[in-house]
Amino acid sequence: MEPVWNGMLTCDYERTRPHATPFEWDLYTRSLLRWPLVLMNDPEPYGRLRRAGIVDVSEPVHRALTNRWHAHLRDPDYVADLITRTAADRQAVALALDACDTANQDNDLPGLTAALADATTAFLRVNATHIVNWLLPEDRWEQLLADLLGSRDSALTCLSALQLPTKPGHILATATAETDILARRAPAAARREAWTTAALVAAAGNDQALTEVRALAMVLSWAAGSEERRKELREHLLATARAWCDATSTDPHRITTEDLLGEDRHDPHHDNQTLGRR
Amino acid sequence: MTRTTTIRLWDAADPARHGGKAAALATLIRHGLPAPDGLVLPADLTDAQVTEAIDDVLTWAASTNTVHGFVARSSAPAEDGAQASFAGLYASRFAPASSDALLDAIRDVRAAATAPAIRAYAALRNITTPPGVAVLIQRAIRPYASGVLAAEIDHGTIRRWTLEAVHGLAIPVVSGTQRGERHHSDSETPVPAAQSEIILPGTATELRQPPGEWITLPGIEDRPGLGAKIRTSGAGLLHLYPPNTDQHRPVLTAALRDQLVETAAIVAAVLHHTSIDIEWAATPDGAVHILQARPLTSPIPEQPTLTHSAGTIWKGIPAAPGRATGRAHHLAAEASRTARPAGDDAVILCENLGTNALDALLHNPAAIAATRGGPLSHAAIVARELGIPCATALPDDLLTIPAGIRITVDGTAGTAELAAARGVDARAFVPDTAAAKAESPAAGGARAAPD
Repeated sequence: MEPVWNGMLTCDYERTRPHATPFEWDLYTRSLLRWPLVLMNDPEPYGRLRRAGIVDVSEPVHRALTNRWHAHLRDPDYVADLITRTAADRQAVALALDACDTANQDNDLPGLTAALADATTAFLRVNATHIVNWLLPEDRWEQLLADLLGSRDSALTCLSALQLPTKPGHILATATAETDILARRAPAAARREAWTTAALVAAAGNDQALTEVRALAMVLSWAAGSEERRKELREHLLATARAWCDATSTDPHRITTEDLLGEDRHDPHHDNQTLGRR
Repeated sequence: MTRTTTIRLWDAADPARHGGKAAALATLIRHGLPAPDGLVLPADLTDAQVTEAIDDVLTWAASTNTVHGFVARSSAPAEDGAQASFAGLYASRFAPASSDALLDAIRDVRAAATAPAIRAYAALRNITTPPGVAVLIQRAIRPYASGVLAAEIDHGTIRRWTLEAVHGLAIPVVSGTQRGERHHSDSETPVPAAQSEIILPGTATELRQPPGEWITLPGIEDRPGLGAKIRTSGAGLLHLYPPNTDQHRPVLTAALRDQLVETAAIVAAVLHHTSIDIEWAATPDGAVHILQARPLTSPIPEQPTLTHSAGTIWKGIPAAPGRATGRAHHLAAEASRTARPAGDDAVILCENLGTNALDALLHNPAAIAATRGGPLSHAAIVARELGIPCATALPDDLLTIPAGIRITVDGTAGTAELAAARGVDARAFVPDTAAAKAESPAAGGARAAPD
C-alpha cells in the first residue's frame, strides 16, 4: 500500500507484482474490493477500482472497515466461523479446478470453460484473504501480549510462534515422502502450542484478554495456512487459465476475468456463494 | 517591478545582502558558465517586502520556463564560505508555479535560517552569522541525473576528485538518505548506487496524478527515459519508484562524468579556489548545470571501496526468531546449481522463497534474509516451520553481498549484519555489478508484495 496521498490510500499491484498478467491484477483488485463482503458479509466495497491492478481507498473507508474487522477478530465465534467459511471457499476452488483438469484431459472445451468460470468465481472469494498480509491488528496484538507476557520480545516471539500453518506450507508440501516433513515441523508445532498455552495462562483471570488471546491464536494460524493454500490454488488457477488460452487460441496476456466468468457474472460485487452468518 | 526589492541573480555581488551562494553563482553566470538564472530576495527584506516581491517573481517567471515550478534556496551571508559551508543546515524548497506555494516556500527558507543548529554550527566554527538570509529563486530543473562533485585543483589541473550521482534531483544524496553512484579519480570503476526513490519536480498536471500512475523519466542521448511509478507527490515534487529494469545500469556515462570533472575545474578557476565542491544537474539536452559552488572545507575522502563493512546493519521485519551467523548464499545460484549447495553454515539471501528453495532449506541453513514480504510471506512461514531465524523486507542492497561473506541474521530484531571476517575479507569489498547480477536475483523496489 502506498503512502497516504490527499486522504487516499492506493493498492498498486502493477508495482508489487510487475510480472503479473492483467488477468492476475484483475483477480487481486476484484478480490480486494470485496474482502469486507467475503470476510464480514459487509456490502461496503473496500475502495474504488481505478483499473485492473490499482484500487484507491479513502482513509475514512479504510479506517471504518478495518476497525469493524478488527472488532470481529476479537470474537472467537466469529473467527471459528471465518475459518470454516474460508476452508469451504478453498474447497470449492479445488473442486472446480479438479473439474477443469478432468475436462482438459477429455478435450472437453465447453466443460473446461464452464468449470474455469466456477473456479474463477470461487477463487475471487479465496483471494480476498490476501489482505491478511497488511490488515491484521498486529500492533494491538503485540501490545496485548507484551502486557500479558511482560516484554515486547516475548510478545514478538509468541506472535511469531503462533503464525504457523496447521499443515505444511506450500514449499515443504513439495518434499518427497523420504523427507519426514512432519518430524521437521514438530518443534515448531510444539512451540506454537507452548506459546498458546503461555498466553492463555497469562490472560487467566481477565475474561476480555483471555477471549482475545483465544481469538488471535486462531487467527494467526489461520492466516498463515490461508496464505499457503491460496498460493497453491492461485498457481493452479493461473495454469488452468493458460491451458484454456491454449485451447481457445487466446493470448493469455490479454484475457480478463470477465472473459473467464462469462457475461452477467462480471459485477465485482456479484457473489453467488453462501455468505457467512455474520 | 520594484527593483529595490529583488535583483536578478547575475547582479548579485554583495555576499552580505545576497548571500555567498548567490554571489558565487552570479560570478559563474557572468563568466558564461551554466548556472540557472534567477532572482534574489536580499537578506534584509522584511516579511511584508517579501510578500510584495512575489509579484516581481511571477512577472519574472512569465519570461522563463517554469513548467516544473520553482526552487527557493537559502543564500546566507556566511554560507558556502572558505571556512564553513553550512552544508545541509539551511533550507531549499520546491514549489509549483503559483504565488501561494512560492510564498510558502520562501517563508520556509527564511524561517529555517533561525534554526538552533545553524547557531550551534557557527559557534563551533567561531563564525558570526548576521541575521537574515537571502533567498534565491530559480526555475526548477528536471534533470536526468544530479549530484555533488568535490575536486582539488593544482595550477589549473584537477588533481583528485570524487563525485556522487543519482537519477533525478540530488536531494537523496545531499540529505544522505540514499547512496548515489560513487566515482573517484583513483578508480575507473564506480561503486553502484543504491537508489530507492527518484525525486523530480513535477508539472502541475503530473502533481495531480495519484500514486501508481506513470511518469516518463528524463533520458539522455542513447538512454531514453523509462517509465517510473509515482510513490507520492507534494510540495512541487514527484517521488518515484526507480524502474525495475534500470537497477543495474550505471547512472553516468563516461562522457558525462568527464564533462562534469572538466566543468568543475573551470568553476574552480573562475572562483579562484584551489578546491571546489559543486552541486550539479545534467539535463536531457546534454547540458550540465551548476546549482551551487563553494570551496571544499574538508579533504577529499579516499576511494570509496567500502560500500559495506563489518558491522553494517540492514533493517527489515522480524519473521522467525533466533540469531545465527553464516556464509552468504544466493538462492538464485542454488537454483541454477552453479554454486555449491547451501549447508548448515549458509545464510540464504533472496527476495522471497519458492519451491526451488526446498533443497537449500533441507540442508539446515543457519538463517534466511529476504528482501520482500512480511511475517506472512512464504519465506517467513517456512522459516518458522523449520525453526530457522529469518528477517524479511530487508533493503535490496543486501543482495549485492558476494557469496561467502559472513553475515548475521537476527530474526527477532529483523536485522541482517555483516559479521567480522573469517576466511573471506569482509572488511572491504566492492560489489561487482556484473558478478552480483549473475549470483543474485535482481533487486527490485517493491516490498511486502502479497503472493
